[in-house]
Amino acid sequence: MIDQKRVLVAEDSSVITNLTKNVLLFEKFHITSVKNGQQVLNKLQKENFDLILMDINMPIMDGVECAKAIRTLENKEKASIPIVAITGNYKNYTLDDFKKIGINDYVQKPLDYDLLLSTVKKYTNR
Amino acid sequence: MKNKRVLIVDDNALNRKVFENIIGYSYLFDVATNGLEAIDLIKRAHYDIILMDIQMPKLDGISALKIIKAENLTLSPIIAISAYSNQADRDYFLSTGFDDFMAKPVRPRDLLEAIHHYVSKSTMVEGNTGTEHYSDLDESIMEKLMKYNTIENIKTVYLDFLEEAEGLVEEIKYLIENNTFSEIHEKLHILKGNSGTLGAQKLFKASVIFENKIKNADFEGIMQENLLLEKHLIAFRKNLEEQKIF
Repeated sequence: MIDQKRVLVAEDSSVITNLTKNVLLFEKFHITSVKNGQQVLNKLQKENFDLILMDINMPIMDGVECAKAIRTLENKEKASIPIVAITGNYKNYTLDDFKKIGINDYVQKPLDYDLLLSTVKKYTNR
Repeated sequence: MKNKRVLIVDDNALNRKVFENIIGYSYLFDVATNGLEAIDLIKRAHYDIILMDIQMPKLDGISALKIIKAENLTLSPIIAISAYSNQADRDYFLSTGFDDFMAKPVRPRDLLEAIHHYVSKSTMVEGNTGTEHYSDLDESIMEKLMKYNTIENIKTVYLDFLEEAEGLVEEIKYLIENNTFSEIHEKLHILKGNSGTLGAQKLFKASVIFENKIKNADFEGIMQENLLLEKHLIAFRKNLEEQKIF
């Protein structure tokens, strides 16, 4: 069996989650989805992932807070999971800003799924 | 037109070469040598038009067409191409659900004209253009999504979007009425991202303008902005209902 890459999708809009799931399933990724940053941290306590796709604007805990929290986790492996932001960029972050926070890369909304897929592949070595 | 994809289905290698030579300059294409292969390809990629031979081993053209229609695999035109060419044959093919029929040997010019006709038709806005009617759906975006999604998935996603968007506009209205402007931007942000991703162009543009207003704390006339969103949303729902898949 091929080693299936696990992607955690954190996004509060079910529309984007559904589409993203379909696209990634098409390429045989294993998908788990949550709706805010707090749920990401909860999931990470129990499971491991190869990549986190993270919306920036989310209720309860947003993507920026969540990424910062992940990077300070004690478990080194989990603290270094690649994080790709998916963002409409309401707050005008630059790639540099994201990198300082610990986010590896970002894909702009409106989403181009070809780009999303190639970015996911890039960070999961596929 | 190089961005349009043609699927050539024919068991005869020489015929395929002929088609490839005619089509290759103007269109992208894939080839299949029987109905089974064609179905397999159609499931994996989007084609703007399919040229289907009738007599083929494993799965003939008519049986393949029946499966494609029954499973809703594509909405693109499917043209029967066959050496059977009298009027009765032609009528029979059209009755089985082919969009058109061409007799072999096919004249290059006729073939190109037919492809051009169907391909440009498929990119035109569907439905009539009544007074209050405009198209808001960027179909190229929908086609792109079809690369990775079954039609059922696409349908679900668009219907979910409509429901969510209608909820958001309703919530924004409530927020405006209660002067809680600070929460509006989050709702708009979702609406903006999703309408853009799904190709609801007017809705997307209107939410960008609205979002900028909120960003700049310019709250004057925002009820009108929200009404505009509502109007675009209604039009978009109508637009979708006119799409063949809905």
